[in-house]
Amino acid sequence: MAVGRNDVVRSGRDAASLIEDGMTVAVGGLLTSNHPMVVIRELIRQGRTGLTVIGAASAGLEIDLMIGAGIVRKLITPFVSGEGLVGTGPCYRRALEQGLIENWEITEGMQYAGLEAAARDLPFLPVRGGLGSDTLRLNPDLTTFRDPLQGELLIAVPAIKADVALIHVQRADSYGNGQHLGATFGDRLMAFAADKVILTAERIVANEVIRRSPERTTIAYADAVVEAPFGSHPFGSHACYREDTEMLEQYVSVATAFRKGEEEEFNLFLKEFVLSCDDHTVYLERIGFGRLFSLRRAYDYMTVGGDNA
Amino acid sequence: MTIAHFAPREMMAIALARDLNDGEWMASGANTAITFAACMLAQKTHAPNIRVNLGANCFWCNVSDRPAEIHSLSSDYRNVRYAEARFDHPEIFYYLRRLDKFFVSGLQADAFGNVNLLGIGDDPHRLRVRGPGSVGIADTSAVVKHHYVFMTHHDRKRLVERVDWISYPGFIDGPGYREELGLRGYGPKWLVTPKAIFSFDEETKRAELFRLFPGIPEEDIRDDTGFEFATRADVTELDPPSDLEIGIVRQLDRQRLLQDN
Repeated sequence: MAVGRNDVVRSGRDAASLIEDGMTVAVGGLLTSNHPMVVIRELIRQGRTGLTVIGAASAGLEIDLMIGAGIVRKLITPFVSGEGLVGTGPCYRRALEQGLIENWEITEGMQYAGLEAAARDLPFLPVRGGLGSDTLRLNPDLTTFRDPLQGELLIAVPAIKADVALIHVQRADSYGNGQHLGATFGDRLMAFAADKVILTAERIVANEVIRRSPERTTIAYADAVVEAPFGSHPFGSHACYREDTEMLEQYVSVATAFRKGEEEEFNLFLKEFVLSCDDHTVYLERIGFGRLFSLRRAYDYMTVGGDNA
Repeated sequence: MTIAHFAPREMMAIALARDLNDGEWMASGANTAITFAACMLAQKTHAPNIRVNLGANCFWCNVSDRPAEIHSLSSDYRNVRYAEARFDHPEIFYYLRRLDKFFVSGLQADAFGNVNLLGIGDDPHRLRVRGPGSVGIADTSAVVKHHYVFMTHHDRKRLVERVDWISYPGFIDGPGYREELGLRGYGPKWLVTPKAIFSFDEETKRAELFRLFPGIPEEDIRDDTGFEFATRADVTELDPPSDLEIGIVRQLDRQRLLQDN
């Protein structure tokens, strides 16, 4: 009898165990969309420590939560913002103002050059953007040099390699083929720069569904797939549901209090929505059907890009 | 006939829209409802061929021929209603050399058009106020042809002689600095606030007063600006919003993001 293909569907708990203390983890999505919250919460619950976190080129409150929960030792991301909700992530701001984590100062172009260098197995890639900015001056690992062909001044950005990339997609099959149904943000480059990829997927679909439109497969052969309906909550998930503004505002409020020295509300928030949620089902039950469906309804009328997940 | 009352941020969007030319390529980043509105207004009026990326959404959008709405969160999937073409976010760097215009804002802007998103304070590792980070504005400065710097408040705290830390290098310390570093692009074109538009002097590269918002006296600008500036000989008041302009802006801004808080 022929050998069957590998099924890489895993529970959130098992997928998170691929990430050990001290590892470098890239977290996909951008600003308020497409974040792999199921595994992020699981890492916090499991008490992971000392992580180097590569956030998106424009990261948001998902990174802020990881910092506030104490699992980050070093941060590599050009931007941590909640936009109109809060200009600068409160836990990020607190950590950097007090020197609690190591911050590898960087711009978007440098982030992408570094990830690409890792993907291509090169020691560095050059950029021009950053010349004249203090971001360059503040990062001792960035060096300027003159190119050997034309003598132009450039910055050498060292390769930024990840042990694991955490990517949220709208659907994936059990062999690890993930499809984004909206924007892909920087997810593909993060996956290329990582040794292993964990996908959280709104829905796990049959391999035949993927084969119907293989050109829509944006991540091939991930190492683990976690079933995660509403898996980006409280952030939005393209083609599925919008962000939960109410919960994001609640987060901003408790994180800002934390930044100002009052821990209690933040700890209560963490307890209610992270630490005491044994798995994603418990989390969703805590949020409640009415709320989740109202977030989904906001996108249900949109008929772009084909089917919604 | 013109509308009697308009919010300062509406005037900012309209003033910017008027300066966008048909067929130009541009991108607007995070927390930029004003500049989304400007790009969309321009597409709906004199510049339907503008190529614009709305926020961080990795799609080229066109709203010239359909109803549209600005959303406060720039990765909002609802922007995809206006999308024609996709790209992976890193691929924006393949487009930068085509971009005519980019919009930049921050914690502080200074007399040479530099912008700070890093933070306030002397010690970079113990900043008094840490900002969100430089995002992509240092990168665009090296390539994109023109930048508009915009600030949502006009006061001495934000408009300073020299920013504490440079995220976006404008003219840096004056003439010649950009050229010496090999930065492409012409640098900042305007500094736009809710009260005024500054352009940059050809020789000195310093901000100079170019346009006043309707009803704002020059003394107010001088009182509220933390750097010395010359006033251009051809300074005038901006034409207030026309009925058409304000009508379109208000259709776009159903969520009232550009209104006074």
